[in-house]
Amino acid sequence: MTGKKKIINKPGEKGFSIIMLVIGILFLIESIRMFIEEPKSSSYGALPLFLSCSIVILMLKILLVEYRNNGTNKEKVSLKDSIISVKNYAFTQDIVFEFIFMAAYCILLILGLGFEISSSLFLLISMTYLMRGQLLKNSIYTLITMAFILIVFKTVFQVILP
Amino acid sequence: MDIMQYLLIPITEPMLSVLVAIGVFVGIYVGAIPGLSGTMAVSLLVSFTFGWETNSAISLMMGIFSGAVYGGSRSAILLNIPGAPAAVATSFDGYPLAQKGLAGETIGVATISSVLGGFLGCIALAFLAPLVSSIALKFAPRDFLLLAFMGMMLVSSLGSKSLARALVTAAIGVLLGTVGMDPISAYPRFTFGSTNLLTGVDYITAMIGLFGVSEALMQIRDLDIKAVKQKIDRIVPSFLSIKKNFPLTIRSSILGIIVGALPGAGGDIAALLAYDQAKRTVRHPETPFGKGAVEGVIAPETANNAAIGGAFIPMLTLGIPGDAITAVMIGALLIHGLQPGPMLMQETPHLFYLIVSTLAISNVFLLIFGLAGIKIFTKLVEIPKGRLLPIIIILSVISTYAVNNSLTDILWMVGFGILGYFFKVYDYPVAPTVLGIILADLIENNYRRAVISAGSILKLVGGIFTSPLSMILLGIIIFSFVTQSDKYNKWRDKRDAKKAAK
Repeated sequence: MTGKKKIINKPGEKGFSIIMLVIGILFLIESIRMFIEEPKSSSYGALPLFLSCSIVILMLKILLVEYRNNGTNKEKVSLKDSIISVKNYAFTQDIVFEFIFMAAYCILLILGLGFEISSSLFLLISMTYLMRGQLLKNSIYTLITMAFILIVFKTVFQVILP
Repeated sequence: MDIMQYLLIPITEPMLSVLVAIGVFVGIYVGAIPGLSGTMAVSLLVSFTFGWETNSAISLMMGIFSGAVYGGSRSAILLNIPGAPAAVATSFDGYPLAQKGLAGETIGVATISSVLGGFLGCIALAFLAPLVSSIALKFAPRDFLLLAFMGMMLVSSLGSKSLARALVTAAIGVLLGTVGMDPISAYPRFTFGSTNLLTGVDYITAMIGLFGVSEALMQIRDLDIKAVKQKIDRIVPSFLSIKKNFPLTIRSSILGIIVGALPGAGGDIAALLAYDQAKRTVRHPETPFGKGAVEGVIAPETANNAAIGGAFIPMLTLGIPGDAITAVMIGALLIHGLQPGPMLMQETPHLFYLIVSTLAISNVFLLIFGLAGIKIFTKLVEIPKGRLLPIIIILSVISTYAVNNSLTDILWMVGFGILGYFFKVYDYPVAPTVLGIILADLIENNYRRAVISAGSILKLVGGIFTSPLSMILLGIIIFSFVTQSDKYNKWRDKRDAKKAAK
């Protein structure tokens, strides 16, 4: 007895596939433009054209399968519920905050605040957020981590830090 | 007689053995720390050891090489983050085994497998170098192209919801590999007017982002899931278990040596192919593959260390690197005034045998350091995730910056991390993307060479059927494609259901 496996799309899965398809199409347009400039099978545009074509075709196949999966799911879900389920599934609060921390860390590095200060701030804030408090303990962990990094990487391995 | 003298150099000069030991120890931890790679460590050493005597520099590098390839398995098993590309396949079953509380024994199995594979690779390097290199010499550009496709197809079979998803991510990887200035015509591809994109996408950056940062993000998403406390009761696997899996060890070693000897295909591809081979040949594993099969750890770990010996074969005899680390080591030899290639064995045979003997000695130290210190290492996983994960992100930033000293690379790495996170969330495998970026040059250069020499695509395809080697490679690609297709899987499920009903 093997009944047909019921496959349900994950929240936001179709949306992600559409984004991938759009990216594939953008690459395809650029590849066609390159290939037209030198229309030879050994030109610089040949492989990108083949690859971007493959991405678009495969993404269409994946979307078709996802559309069929959706078709078998009889329950109608409102747009608001869909957004909430995507948020709960892929954009959890922890993930959103970590994205923000990472972005802020990169900005601080680019602004030239220095590796030591930027990294210490990133570590302390991320740890305190993810551990839901424990500022003092996290400060000690940050200090130990930074000391380890500076001794091992900067002094022993002589790695150039950002 | 001379050969014996050359082989015994590290014994007669004990300092060389000490350097191998230091290299192995450091290599294990470099390989184990997610984001840090053996390639990075060896490339840093090239500049550190510039003023050293050649034998000392080579001894340290050989130790780091062996240690780093093995070390990647530790974080793959304990954290599900492969410390090195060669440990990607190890995580498929290594991590599920650790989740079952078998971390110690799994690391023990990985150590024994790595050492056995390493020794067999070493023997192959010593005895089969001329033979294997002569086979590799016969590879036409068409065969390299097929080989790269074969690697991609086999990687696509691993841990994906569907073949289409895996092929999409593989194609994205190769496409990203073409970003930047075309090496032949200098045409800027997909740069959209940005000078930062002219140098292309660095595969180490992509690897750190897609494997390191995305995994950290996935674990932050599932922060509330409590980590299994790793039990380290038993480390050395039983003799019976080693004996039972010995045929698999031998098969995986042979595969690792051959793949390692093929230029451009190193321990990472060897490990993935060995995993796939184990999945197909081990009929009745105690636990299914992907859910904690011990065979899924033995095969890749044996193959990736066996590939080290293999990788040196084309490097030393032809001057063609077998993988990224041997490419860096060519640079190291050049700095010391040595030219890898056919004349190296004629003019400086002692160097060839020094590499063989230091590789053998590194495996002895690998056994010692591999089986010791696991308990301390496993304490890493007991650090709360909320503290460990930001540290992993910082380490990823350091190692990304260390490659090119570029802040733009850090942005790329974060971008790849976020892309990898969404790939994982929606069941798109990330390994084919990384492999695609790594193999992009190999694929494109050989495709263009093959098309130019054949005259047209049609003639290129027709040419495959005139060469037995090309036909074998094509046969493997077709076999791999068919056995992964939905239709084949449905047919196999039906067949299995019928068998179960009888």
